Amino acid sequence: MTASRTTPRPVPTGNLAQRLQQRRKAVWYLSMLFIALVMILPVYYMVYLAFSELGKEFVFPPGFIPDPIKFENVIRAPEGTATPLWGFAKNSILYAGLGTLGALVAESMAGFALARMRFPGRNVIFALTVGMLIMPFVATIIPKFLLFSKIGLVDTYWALILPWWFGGSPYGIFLMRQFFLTIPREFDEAARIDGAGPWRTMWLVLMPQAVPVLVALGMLHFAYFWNDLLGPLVFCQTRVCKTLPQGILSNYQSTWDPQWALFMMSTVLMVLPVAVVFILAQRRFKQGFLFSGLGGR
Amino acid sequence: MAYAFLAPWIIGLVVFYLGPVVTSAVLSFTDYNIISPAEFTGFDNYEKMITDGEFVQALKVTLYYTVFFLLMYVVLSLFVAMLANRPGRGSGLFRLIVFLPSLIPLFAAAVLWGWIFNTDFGLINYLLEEIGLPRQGFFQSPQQALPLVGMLTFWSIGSAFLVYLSGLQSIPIHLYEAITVDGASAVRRFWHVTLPMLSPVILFNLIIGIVLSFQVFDIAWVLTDGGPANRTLFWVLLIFRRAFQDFEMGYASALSWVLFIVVAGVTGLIFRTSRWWVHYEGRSR
Repeated sequence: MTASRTTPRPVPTGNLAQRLQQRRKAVWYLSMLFIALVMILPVYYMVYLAFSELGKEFVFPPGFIPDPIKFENVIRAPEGTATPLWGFAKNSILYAGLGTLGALVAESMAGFALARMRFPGRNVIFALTVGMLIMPFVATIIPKFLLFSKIGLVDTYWALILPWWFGGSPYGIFLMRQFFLTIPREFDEAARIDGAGPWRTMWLVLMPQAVPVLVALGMLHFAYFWNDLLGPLVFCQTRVCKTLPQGILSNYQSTWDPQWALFMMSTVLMVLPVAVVFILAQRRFKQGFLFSGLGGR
Repeated sequence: MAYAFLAPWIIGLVVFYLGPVVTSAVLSFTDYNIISPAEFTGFDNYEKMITDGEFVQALKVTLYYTVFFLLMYVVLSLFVAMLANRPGRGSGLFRLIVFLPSLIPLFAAAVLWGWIFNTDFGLINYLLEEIGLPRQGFFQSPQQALPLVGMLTFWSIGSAFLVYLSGLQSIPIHLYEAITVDGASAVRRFWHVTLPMLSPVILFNLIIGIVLSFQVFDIAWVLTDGGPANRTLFWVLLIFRRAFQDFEMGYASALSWVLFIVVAGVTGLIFRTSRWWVHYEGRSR
């Protein structure tokens, strides 16, 4: 066998290699540009409609920016076309805020116990937790509804929030357990020598290290609650606890002449706070810590 | 002591997960409309399901949608993530742009798509007409509505994209260097390094994708109302209607129990096969 057969395929040199490199780079940039455009155009159109003049949302051909730009929509949209949105916003903040808080606390506690403590039945509980990862929300919704209507919690916030206080989501528990497993046990040992029990060890030693994970998990929870439609539809049919998605939808469904610009502005205003927080935290997402330890453990 | 930490979750597990599963299994053998007491009816609900044209339709629609959704959520998002993973100018912004649409609540996205694809005065039909093509029915067309809903899921790949991205970033570079020195092409690098190293992450996205796709509700409820001609009658929409509009709690329980069984069965099957195609680096499983 000659030497040339065993050596790797010759790498193009000089000019040719450079040209290939450049072409590859161009293809890469063009595909990125294409996908970015596909992704951003509907979002742009949404903002475009939000700033359009009422009745002129669908004038064709559309310009690149609405003409005229109606900044006053920002102020008019929360007033609603039938019902002001502030009450719904308050309910959404309560649902998303208290739900997220309770879920994080419960998930951390359960995750800590599953990662750090030895007790009979641990494997069973962990297996059940992982099993519940695939439980579709809708599969349990009817008995939950019947239970809450029996004890009079339907049409109160509690029907929405309470389930999340009891353990949060299996996903969150799983994530917290995986995270606690990555922290060296020396921390626990040191805390124990200093006389701290598991409760203090968890809150004072481990939780401060978990802040990035808690932020990420908290944002996922918050965005889920904030945008949730099915939950509030089933559990909240009165003004007292209807949330923003219901409020915005009922505004636009209740008028004979739906005011599209205002509808779109309402949703833009609703997305904005969540989007800003996500953008600010984007660097953390990039680290990939969220799913570290996913593989095979 | 450990049970104190787990108490909330154990209560939640029993009251909000295991209890409801058992309850809906029991309810599925009854006729129950909330007002009058439940009446045991044996397998009537299940027999009804088989002959219920709407259920068969919902099953078809949901499975069809699942295929579309998985294509976007599991396959296409991987390629988008690979694009974003190459360091270079603008890749940070690109990641942000890909993730951004996933933050828009589905009900609002549904209304927006409804406008863009409106038959009479939507943007797309306007553009089609400008370039001399016939107008399309889109959401009003029984043939186009469901494929369109399926394709639009491309805008909700954000979370799968992020998971892939973090997975790609944890692949050691020396693996790529080694195979590149051997003169492997980009395709071979993909097959022999990226795919096996990423397989646990693919499994994760596949499972989450299946659970998500069986729960699609918002777009049907807001935009199509299951139509036209029940072509977007998703399973969850059917359950919602039977349970909370017709108050047929027994039948709706049977529907949701079967949904649970199907999701559990499909994901279980995937886990079973996963040891043939999921590669765990240096770990036994």
